[in-house]
Amino acid sequence: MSILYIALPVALLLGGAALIACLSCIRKGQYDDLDSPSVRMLIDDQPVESPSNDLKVSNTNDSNE
Amino acid sequence: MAPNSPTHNDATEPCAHCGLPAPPVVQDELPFCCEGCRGAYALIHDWGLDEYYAMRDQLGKTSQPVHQSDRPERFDFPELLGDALTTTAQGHHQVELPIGNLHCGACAWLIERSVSLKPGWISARVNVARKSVQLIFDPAQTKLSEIASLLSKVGYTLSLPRDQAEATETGYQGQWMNLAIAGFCFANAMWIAVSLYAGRDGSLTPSHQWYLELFGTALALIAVLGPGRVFHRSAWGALKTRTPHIDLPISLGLWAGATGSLLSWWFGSGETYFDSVIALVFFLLLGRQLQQYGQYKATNAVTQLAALAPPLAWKINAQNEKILTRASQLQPGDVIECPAGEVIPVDGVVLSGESSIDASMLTGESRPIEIQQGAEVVAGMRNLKRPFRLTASAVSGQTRVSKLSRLVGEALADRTPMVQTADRIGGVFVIAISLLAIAAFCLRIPNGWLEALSQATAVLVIACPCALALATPLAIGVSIGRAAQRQILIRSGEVFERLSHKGTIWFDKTGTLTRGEMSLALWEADQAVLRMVASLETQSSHPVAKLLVNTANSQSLELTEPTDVELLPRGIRGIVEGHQLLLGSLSQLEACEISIPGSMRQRSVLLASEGLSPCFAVLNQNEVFLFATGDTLRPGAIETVDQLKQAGWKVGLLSGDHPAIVQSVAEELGISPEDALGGLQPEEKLEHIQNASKTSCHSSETTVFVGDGINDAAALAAADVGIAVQGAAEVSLQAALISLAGEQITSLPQLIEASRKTVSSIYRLLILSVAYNLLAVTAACMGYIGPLTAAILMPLSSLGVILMAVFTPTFGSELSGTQIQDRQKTQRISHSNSRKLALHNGGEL
Repeated sequence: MSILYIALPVALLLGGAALIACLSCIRKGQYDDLDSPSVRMLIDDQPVESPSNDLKVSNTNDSNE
Repeated sequence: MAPNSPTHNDATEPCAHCGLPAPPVVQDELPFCCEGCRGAYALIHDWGLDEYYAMRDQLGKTSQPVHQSDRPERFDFPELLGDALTTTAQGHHQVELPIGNLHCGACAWLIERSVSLKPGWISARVNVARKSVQLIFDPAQTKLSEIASLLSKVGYTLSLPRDQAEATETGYQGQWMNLAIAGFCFANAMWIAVSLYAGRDGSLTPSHQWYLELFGTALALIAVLGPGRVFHRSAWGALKTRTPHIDLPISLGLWAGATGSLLSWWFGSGETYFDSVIALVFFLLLGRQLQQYGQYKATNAVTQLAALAPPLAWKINAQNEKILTRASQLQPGDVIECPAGEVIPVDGVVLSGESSIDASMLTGESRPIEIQQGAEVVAGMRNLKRPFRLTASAVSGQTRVSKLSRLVGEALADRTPMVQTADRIGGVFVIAISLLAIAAFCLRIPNGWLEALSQATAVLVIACPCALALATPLAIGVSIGRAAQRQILIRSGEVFERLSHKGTIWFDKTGTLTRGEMSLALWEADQAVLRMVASLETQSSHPVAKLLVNTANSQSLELTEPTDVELLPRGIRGIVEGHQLLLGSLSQLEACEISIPGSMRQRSVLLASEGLSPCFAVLNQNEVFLFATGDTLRPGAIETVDQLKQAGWKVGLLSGDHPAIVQSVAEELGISPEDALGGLQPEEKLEHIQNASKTSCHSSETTVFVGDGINDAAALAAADVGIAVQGAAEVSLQAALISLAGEQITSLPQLIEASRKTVSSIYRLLILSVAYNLLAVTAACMGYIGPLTAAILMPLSSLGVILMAVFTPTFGSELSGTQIQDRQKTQRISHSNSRKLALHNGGEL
């Protein structure tokens, strides 16, 4: 049972490290918005296109309409 | 689909962008309610972001209709952005701004995707809960104003930063941190406690026990001194002001438990209570967090709206040039030009030009007011038609709007905070358990002071009203969440207790019970006449003309081009489909020497006395038709008033309108004439509500005020419960504790019923927990309850409270008719959109 003397502080230290990680997440604002992350993960990444291309497409569409 | 109420236009299709009723369209075309929405849809479609609609529909949300926004140039003034604007290491500008019309993840997606469309716009990060967006852009390539106008085209309005948002933010993060620390202590203390209890049979050596208790007590001290500060601070405040508060017995219990554990551990005898103490801190913080997150969301939803008076103005200098100036730098006497479509920045007198203005933000009434030279205008009104110049008479802090806002501030400060039931009980509790603890201590003195102390501590810890303190925030938090699902935003948990006492509900008339916008209230002629009248009115820009054209469009009438059109001072004349047609007011017809039947003349006078605007159409100089436009009651207004009366509330009207109009509306709604007061100034409304709440204070009746305009804001603040309806001015939303989104005054009876149920649920929980505490304390005093039993019973009682609070139905499980309609609408949009998108894609393939 003497292992307790080492195991207990080690367990608390591990937990403490997780706590500190959690606190820094809160401070960085990760808990500010609890609504959109659940949706964000569903969003597919779009294929990479150069922004100039996009604008051209939108311009031609405009003129068509 | 439920049939539309008769006042509705017969629009059959929901707008593809915002879901409002839109005129029906030909096959395979998307319906839009207005040009703004059509533009927004076209933009989103052209950007290739159609997925937004699919995502939005999946979430069961709708978008806002797109409205014109004010000068985006204001975002290019660094002074106005203040500390919100920072420069990153790469030389990019970073700014966090409140953004309006944000609903859900789909909006966030759309905004964040727009970034690639603007060269120089580096990133956008939306925070849905805070209703803000963090923008990073390269000032060399783009301006913030360009980003703002891009966003406004898709319906999102940026506004200038607030100081107050920052303050709530840090408090909010602090709460999460407290909860995290408490959670850490709780979880670790539990397994230490389990080891200790498991070793009670003697298998634990004293040195091991000492070691485990050392860590347990250390964790308890961390929890009590760290996150527990919240309770100590509020208990200290309660002591200083001598108001009862539930935190007082809690703080006492925490201190007793922590010091008791410390002493027991030090002397190596007696019980340690660290597990109970830490569980208490954790559960209580958890319950409060639940309530506060709901309130936090509701608060953010109302504070982040566009500012009322624009901070920029076009000043005319001595050389007759227009200069864009900050409104705060203007002086009385300055000449200012107000462009069409913008909000007037100062109070003043019209110097030159004619236009019509929209004062709906001030009064709730959106009937345009015609102005000309010499007319007085007030900051916050919107110029609708043509630019005009005005001489400023009062600027920035001296304007009528600012004065009203100050009045609101004073009324808010005056409001007496409510002492909640749990707090009242808590006050009694603290006295009772202190006495009990002293009694337990005295009784055990003969057995040695150490044992006596340990017994007194046991009483204090067990009596610590965890369940009692948990009951109120939990029940309220659950109800706030349920209300938010029904588009009722509640900013303070107090309202449930207040609304559960019957009293008087005062309604503002215009914009609250009525739509606040014009509609065709009376039309007796057939569709052919409407078609001709609307055809002629296409040539006029008068609001009545627009209304008639819209009505004709919604009935899909085909309009023709009129000829020989002549604009008259108070009417219009022309030839439509070969018929001569004249439209105009009574005086115009008299001027044109057209004879009107006497009965029709009388009826027009009668209509005018009912608050409607009568108007005549004359066909071929002899056929006369009478029609009237005006503000009509909102759908469901009569039923709402009825239900409220049945629920035992008194209903009254307070309005700034002419008393005769108010009386006629009151009659329609079934409100007794003596409770319908008209012609009131904002100050008089405030006074009336203040008096009402003062007298009702003694009889424990609640005074509720429901309103929307700035003229209502002070009264909203002074009422026991202020309820702002959607579209209300920002000041009103901030003054009111509740805001009803979705134009649903019909949800009022539902809210009141839910308040009653919430409060009775709180009482049930309170009674149970008081009974539990009494039993436990008695048993503890008599020495029946060992620490092990206490340690098990403690979290069990909290768990029981949590379960009961969550499973008590407060809001009826049935959604109201309009809500079901909303749901169906969303589904139909989603259906029609996917159908049309499929068509579109098929065509391309």
